[in-house]
Amino acid sequence: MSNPNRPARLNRGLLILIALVLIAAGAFTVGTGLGMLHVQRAASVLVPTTAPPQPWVPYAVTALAILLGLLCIRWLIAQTMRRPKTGIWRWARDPERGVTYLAPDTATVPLLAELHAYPGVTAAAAWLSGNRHTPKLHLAVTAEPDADLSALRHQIAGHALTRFRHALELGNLPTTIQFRLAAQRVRAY
Amino acid sequence: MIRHPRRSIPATVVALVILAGCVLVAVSCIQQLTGHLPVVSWAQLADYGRRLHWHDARVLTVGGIAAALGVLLLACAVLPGTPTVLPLAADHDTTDPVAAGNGRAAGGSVDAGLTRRSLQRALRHAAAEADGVTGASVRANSRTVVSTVRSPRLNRAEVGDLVGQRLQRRLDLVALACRPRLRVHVRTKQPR
Repeated sequence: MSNPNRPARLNRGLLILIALVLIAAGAFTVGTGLGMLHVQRAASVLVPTTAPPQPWVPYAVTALAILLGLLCIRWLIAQTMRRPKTGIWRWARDPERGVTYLAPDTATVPLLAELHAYPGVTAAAAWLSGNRHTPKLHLAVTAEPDADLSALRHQIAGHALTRFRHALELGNLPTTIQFRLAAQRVRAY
Repeated sequence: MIRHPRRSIPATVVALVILAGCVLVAVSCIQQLTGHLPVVSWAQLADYGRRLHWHDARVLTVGGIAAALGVLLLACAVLPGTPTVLPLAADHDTTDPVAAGNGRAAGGSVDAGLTRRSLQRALRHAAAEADGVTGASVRANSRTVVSTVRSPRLNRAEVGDLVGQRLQRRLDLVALACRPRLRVHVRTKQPR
């Protein structure tokens, strides 16, 4: 998932799922209690049987609780992982003579150096995600508070990104740029 | 590019609540299986269930609370919330002469946005630096920018115009995708 706004989609999906389960359970309880649903009689007790549960039930419940708990921990960890996912790129035009690997963070170093040199840019970060055939680039650029963003954007798209695409031999590179205006003027030395 | 909140707070709360429930269930099950005194006794719980009827007020209340919580979570998940990143106007990147002149395709779209908070901060700074303004606050979203400034001057219209011009200049430099409506309120009274 190269979504730059992780984990928004995951949160949304899981929240909807849990909400629907809660609504269904609540509606079933109220519906049965008010006599609108006829799965159970409204006057019957919640636990109609007096027999003890099957011997495997506690094991199954324990396993289920542990699994669900681990998934919850995974969900909590996902809240801290906000960077878009990146992976190592691999070139194997002639596999017998060797393979080239490229770490995305290495690939973006010259791009970031160029962005830092632009007037008005105080900080920049880049994430190259996807693979070589469906690449995506996410840029986070902090600009001085009085920067001309359209000019800056034009410069980034026209020069920095063009050069970056040529260097990596990419024909098409969908790019998102998230600008931030710095709190106060920071002079670059 | 527009981005909405990640809903991290409801997600974290729900995950913690479910995790706590899972720990409670797992611990009491294991205690029961190993012959210890369980935190939650299933026998007691089943006894309680045998005494409760579906039409009891307690059962109906719990069901109602569960449904209400479900609706609340659904609202958290479905309502987009105030965007965190506002879209910037589409640039003429794809017809960029520099890129096109190199004989290559222009190289895909560039989708740009600006974080709403940093825009608010920059606008607040711009408003506060206007002549005759002693304090300013700005609320910005994709459609409207509302600025409230305090000024000791009595001529509100003049101060409002000045601040409005400054904010408009700043907004023009940013070039948001849809030009927000700009409103400036001037308060002449100093807050106590």
